[in-house]
Amino acid sequence: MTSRSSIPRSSIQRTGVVLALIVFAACLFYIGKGHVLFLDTNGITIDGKEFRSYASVTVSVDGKELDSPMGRAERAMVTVSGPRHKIVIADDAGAGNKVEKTFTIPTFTGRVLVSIPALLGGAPAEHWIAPFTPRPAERAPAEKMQRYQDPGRE
Amino acid sequence: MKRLRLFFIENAVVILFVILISIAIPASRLPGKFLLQEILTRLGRSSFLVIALLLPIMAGMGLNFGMVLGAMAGQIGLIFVMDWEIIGIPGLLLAMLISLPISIFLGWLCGSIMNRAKGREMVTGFILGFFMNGIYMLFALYAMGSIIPVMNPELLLSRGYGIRNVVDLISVRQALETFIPLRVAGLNIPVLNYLLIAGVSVFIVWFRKTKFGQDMRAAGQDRAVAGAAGIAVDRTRIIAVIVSTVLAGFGQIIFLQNLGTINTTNSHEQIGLFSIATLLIGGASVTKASIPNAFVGVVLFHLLFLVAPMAGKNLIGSAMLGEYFRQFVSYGVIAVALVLYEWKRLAQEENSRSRLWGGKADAL
Amino acid sequence: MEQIKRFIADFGLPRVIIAVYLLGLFLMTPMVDVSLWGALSDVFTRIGMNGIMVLALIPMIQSGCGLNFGLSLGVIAGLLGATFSIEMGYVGVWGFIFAILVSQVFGAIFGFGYGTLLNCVKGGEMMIATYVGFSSVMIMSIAWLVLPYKSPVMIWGYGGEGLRTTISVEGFWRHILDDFLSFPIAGYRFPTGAILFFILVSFVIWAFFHLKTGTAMTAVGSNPIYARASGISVNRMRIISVIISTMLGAMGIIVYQQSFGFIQLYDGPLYMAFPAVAAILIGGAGVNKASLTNVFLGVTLYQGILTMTPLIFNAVLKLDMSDVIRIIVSNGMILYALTRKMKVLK
Repeated sequence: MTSRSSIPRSSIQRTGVVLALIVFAACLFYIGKGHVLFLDTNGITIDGKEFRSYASVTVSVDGKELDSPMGRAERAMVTVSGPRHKIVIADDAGAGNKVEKTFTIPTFTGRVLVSIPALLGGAPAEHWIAPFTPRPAERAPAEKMQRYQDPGRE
Repeated sequence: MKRLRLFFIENAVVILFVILISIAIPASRLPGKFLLQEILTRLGRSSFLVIALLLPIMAGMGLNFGMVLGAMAGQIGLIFVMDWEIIGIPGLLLAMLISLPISIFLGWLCGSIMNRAKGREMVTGFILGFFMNGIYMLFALYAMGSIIPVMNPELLLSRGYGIRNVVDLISVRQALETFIPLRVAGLNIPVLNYLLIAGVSVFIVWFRKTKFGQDMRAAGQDRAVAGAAGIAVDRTRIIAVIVSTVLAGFGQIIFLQNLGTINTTNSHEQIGLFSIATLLIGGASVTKASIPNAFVGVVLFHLLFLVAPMAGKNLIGSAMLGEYFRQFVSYGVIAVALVLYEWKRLAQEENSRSRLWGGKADAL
Repeated sequence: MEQIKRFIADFGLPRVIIAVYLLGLFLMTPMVDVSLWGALSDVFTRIGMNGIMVLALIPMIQSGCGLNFGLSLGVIAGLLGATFSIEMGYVGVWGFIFAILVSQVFGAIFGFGYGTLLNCVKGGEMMIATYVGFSSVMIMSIAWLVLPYKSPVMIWGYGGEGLRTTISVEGFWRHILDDFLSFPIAGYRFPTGAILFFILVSFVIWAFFHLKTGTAMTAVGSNPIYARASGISVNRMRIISVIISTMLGAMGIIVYQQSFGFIQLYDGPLYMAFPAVAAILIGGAGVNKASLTNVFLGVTLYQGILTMTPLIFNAVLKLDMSDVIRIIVSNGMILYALTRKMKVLK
């Protein structure tokens, strides 16, 4: 470590270690990146095809079942990490329809909307899974309400 | 008989605390199982930080008050990981990787500054901790979100830049403790924490035995002799501080993921005080510390931590009193350790001087 | 150019930077609509408030005991004096004088014990002083809880125990010095009394260091072996310096309280030593040499920065960075003093 001749070798080693650590960090980022899945049971119409909502479905993501079955027009939030995930949906009503799908989420997409009726109805992946951006329209009424409430608070 | 007496003298601090705690535990009326669980958790939470202090002691640089620098680096790593939303163990590992270059730089800085202030490394490290706290605040409260992009607006203060006072570590909270769940007799054992602590202990033992570790201890014994023997003393000391700072950064990440929140502006401040007091309560001194000292210290210090407020409340009717007493003990044990160290050093100096001058004293 | 270089070398680069920075802040006052006179009045009030605490550091630096990070011990003596005075119900000038007298007694006792301890640990005073100070603050916190004070002004009204965390001195001796002979400048008060008192105490210290004991003390600090050879008791001189430092610290905190308006107990004194240490170092003192000039210059520059930074930054950037700047400047100064080679600046 101290002898003069070893300096080039050690600098190569150092660069190697630093590069390896950077690669390792990138891997950690890739497998650890968190995503929020919004599971949505609302009926949905895609390309004129209508997917009806189900009365009650049991959903599990990556082997973990949600606390309670989901009814109509519900939205549940699940946090997952990494790119690949497995979702299992079982229709609790008579038909006993059960679907198991694996899907990938792009690393830099933080929030993802999963439409359960579309998934159960067998729509192609690009239709039942979509990046989720909160619609400004949703926020506006809440903001208005807050502004309305403000004077009363004081 | 003589050996027994020596044992008591050498372990005076530990024995004193054992007595103190054996009075305080019954007075606190806390259930034994609760205390046992807390101690198991706290061993997993704090031991790593305490072990981070060992190397500079071996290098003769005293108690590394500069370890708060590492704690700051660890917190910066965690803040970035929270911003990027990296979850669980990968998140913690990434936080450690981010803290690594920062810790190395800060450790190098700390070591170089201490080399300029030989003989007062401790007070210099202590003040350096305060100084760096200012830089850290500048970074966390002003640069984050303005110069350095922060994606997650929930981390920021409402004014639009600067990290919130409290950052919730929800996505990495207790990721280590829950990774290998193990319950024995109704007690949760944080297995992965213990594995990490075992790993760092082995590392310290190994490090001490390497050529470099030998040099380091030689430099710790006598700088002049080590220098004459061809050891690069300054460089050795810097590396000891760098390793200590890096370990402190990792330790802080382990510590905070267990607590589950960061107090952005002051989580790191008390870490130096608590870790150093812990090590000293475990029977270490300014010049001599071992891994068992760290574990004994964590158990004793945290028992006191747990029972002091309740004991104070039950004995005198004031919980604040127990709290102040605990703080007094933290500060006091450091004061006592430093006094003993300087006192011994002076006595040695006096001794060697009188030997040197012994012959001439009559002539004068 | 050479002259400027030499001037900077003599004056110390950090001091030059701080002085230029402060000057810049003052020059900016008219531009940002901040009253220069108001700012100056604030600066002088703070100088009067903190001056004696900075002065308290001189004896220990001169006798070779280093920076007195254990000044909190003196502060505790001052708190005892102040609370005793209020407990006895003395008001006005007599209350203030009584508080100082009591604090001096405690300061002497504490200083003696503290000095004796420091004599056992020559060379490691600074770190030990810090932690002795810290642990005494905690012991006193317990004392504030259990001491049998009765004055309703000071104890918690109901449901609490012990003394309040902050006690107002309004109605006792608030602004007793600040208002003495004070006169308005452009509508702002000049704290004549406090400044005069600071000058008076400084003069006493100056005179002391020109008397036999004072010169002996300086000799002990600059060359202990020579001092011992000429028959001066090194240990005795060091203890005297610590006693004086602690007593001045006690007086300093009472002067601080009369201006601030409150007595801060419990954790209050924990970090009291650090601003004082930073101030004297900014003034150019070294770890073992300090003069009155260092004190005057230091307290002016340091308190000037503390007053002006938030004023200007708030006005210009709408941003309060004063706390961060205070931390960086004061600890940076201490760090600089600890690491530089021992050369004393004029």
